This record gives sequence, C-alpha cells and structure tokens, in this order.
Amino acid sequence: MNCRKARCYISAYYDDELSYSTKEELLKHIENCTNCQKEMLFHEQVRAGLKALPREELADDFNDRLFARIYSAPRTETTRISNVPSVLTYRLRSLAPVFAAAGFIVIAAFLAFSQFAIIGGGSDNIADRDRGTINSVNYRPPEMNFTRPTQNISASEMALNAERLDSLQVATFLKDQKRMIDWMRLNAANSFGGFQDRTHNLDQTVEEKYNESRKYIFPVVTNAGSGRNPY
Amino acid sequence: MTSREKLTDVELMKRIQKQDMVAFNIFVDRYKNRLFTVINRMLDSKEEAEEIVQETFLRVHQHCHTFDFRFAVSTWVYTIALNLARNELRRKKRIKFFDIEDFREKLSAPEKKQLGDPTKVMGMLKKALKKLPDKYKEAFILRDIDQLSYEEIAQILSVPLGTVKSRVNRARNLLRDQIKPKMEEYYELSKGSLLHFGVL
Repeated sequence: MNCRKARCYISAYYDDELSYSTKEELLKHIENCTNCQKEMLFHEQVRAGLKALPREELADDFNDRLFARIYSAPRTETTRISNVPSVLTYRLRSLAPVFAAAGFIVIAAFLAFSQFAIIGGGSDNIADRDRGTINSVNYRPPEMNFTRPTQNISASEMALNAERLDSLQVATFLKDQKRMIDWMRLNAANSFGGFQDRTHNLDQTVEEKYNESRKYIFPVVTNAGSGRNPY
Repeated sequence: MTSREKLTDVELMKRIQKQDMVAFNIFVDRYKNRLFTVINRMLDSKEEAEEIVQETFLRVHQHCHTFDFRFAVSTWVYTIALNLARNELRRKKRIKFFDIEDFREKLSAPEKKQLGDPTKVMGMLKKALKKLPDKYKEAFILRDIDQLSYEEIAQILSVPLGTVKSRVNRARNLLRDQIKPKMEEYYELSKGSLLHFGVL
C-alpha cells in the first residue's frame, strides 16, 4: 500500500468501514511511514477536538416559550387539522349516538311508509286511482309462436328468412324485456305513488309495436322460388 | 426516569398525535439540545439556532398527523430542522454583502499567531467548519459532531449512501487542508505533545 492509498483509507478506518485485511494493510503501512503517521495523528486530533467541542444547551425556559407559542399560534388550516380538538368537536362527538339513533329512526320510518304504500294506504293518489289499468300490464315469459309459410321459397329467401327468424327472436326478447321493465316501473310507481299516467295504453302500445316489427321482420312471402322445399 | 420518559420515539409520536402534551414535552426534551448543537454549528448563531429549533418543534406539533411510521422519528425531526436551517442560510446569503467576522479576523490576525491556548484549537476548528460548503458541512456535522450513522444521514439529507460518505470524506479533507498548517505550527510549539489540547 502506498501513501496516497493509505490516506484515502484513513477516513474510512475511523468510520470502521474497512475490511479486516485492508485495515491490517493500512496499519502495517502506517507503522513504517512517518508522513502517514502524522496524517493519522492529525485526523485523531480533529476528531477528538470535535468531540470535545462544548455541547450547546438551550435555556431552561425553552419549553415554556415553545408551549406558549404553540398555544398562541393562530389556528391555521394545518393547526386545525392537527387534531387540536375544539369545544364544538367535543360536543359533536358526545352527540354522535343521538345522531345515529335519529338516523336509524328516519330510515325505519321511510321503509315502513314504503311498505304501507304498497299494501294499500294513501288511496287518494293517481297511482291507486288507475290501479286497474296499471295492473293490466302483465309480465309473461317469452313466446315463440309463428306459423311456417306454406309457399315454396328459394334457398336465398330461406337464408334471409332464417336471419329474419333470428331477428324475430331478438324482437320477441326485446318485447319481453320491455314488458318486464314496464312491469318494474309500475311496481315502483305503485310503491311511491303517482307519476305513471302515461302507462294507460302501455299494453296496447307494446302490442302494436310488436306487430309492426313482426310485419317488418317476417313479411308474407309472395315470390315462389324454384319449387324446392327449403325445409 | 418515569415510565413515560422510557417510551420510544414511535410511542411518543403516537401519543403526540393524540394531543398528549406531556409526551410532546418529553419529545422536546429528548431532541432539543441535539438539534440546537447541529443547527448552531451550521448557522453559527445561537439566537437563530434557537429560533429554528423552536420552529421545528412547532411544525412537529402541527404536522404530527402526517408522520409516516415507516420512517424513523429522528430522521423526520432532523429533516425538518435541516430544511429550516438551509432556508435560513439561503436567506442570510442573499442579504449578506460582507462578513464582519472576516474583518475582525484580519484585524486581530497577528495576535492569533500566538498559539498555545487549547481553546484556540477549538476556535480553529469552529472557523474551519464555518468555511466549509453547506452541503459538506451538514453531512460532516451530522456524522462527526452528532454521531449519526451514514444511513440515517442519507435519509435525512435524501441523498444516496455513497454521496453521504463522499461528502463527509470531502469535508474532512477540506477541514484538514484548512487547519493543518495551524495545527502543525502548534504541534511544533508544543514540542509534539498534544496533551495541551486536552484531546489526547
């Protein structure tokens, strides 16, 4: 080990960060090198000098002044957030069970009123007056009744009709969905009362729409094709 | 020592978060002088150091709820204090046109040549420390005066471990370069005996 390297290692030596072998090597070098001995001695002096520097201490009343400052500090946003509880916070906290009980009562009353409305209470609203009409909307499972055309049709028409058949199934499903949604709407309306005057002709409208779409999707086949039976 | 004073930093911080002012008082007692020593060495002004230590604790109290328990409490406190000290140093640099201490030093230079008083060696160290660049000075003070580990210093300064080591090493070398001639002179005067320093 040369002097240059040894001087680089001296700082690490005092931090006890050298490996055993490097430390041995360094000490061996220092034993035989006067300049490095001086360097090491100097480092020791500085370290010891720094440790011997008087440790500064704050005045005894530091804490009192600090606490006075904390208590007199304006309640900024951060101070308020820092869990310094105000009188109001304490009072609100103590009233928490009362608020909880009140909330529970309100929810229970609301639920009871809803049940009452469904069963038959409050018969003077529009929903109850029109109940007969409203209840006439029934929810039925999907039906797939259509008659097979008797005429002969071509293969291409057959393919087209097959597509139309799919469309019809979709339309039926949509119709059913529509009925279901209407049924749910009416149930909701019955529960809360009012606002469903528009549902008077609901059944009829649905039927009309269905027939219309059926006409469009599955028109009467007039063009006789090659005479082969497509089925 | 009461049972409260035996509490760890984390336990104290949890109590401080619940606005336990007794815990906060213990916490202040635990850190105030350590912080004061470090900040005083950095700023070389007791009044400013005291003000910064007070501000540090004020912020600890105000922002205790934001403390992240994954980190060490000491690291957090030191980081706040050092950031405040850095701000103060920057402010001082902006308004400082000349240093009155330099003039004093120049005026009394011949007098200081008369070495032999151990307190003068301390004075030499203090002056050399004052002249160190800030980034080296803070790493050096935390390591060699406050005796913190390199890992802690790296967390406080938010720099990699290797950077801390190199900064401390650089600071030591700078310090050595500054005071070595004077120390050698004193060494010659005291005929090799370092007992006068009261350090060996």
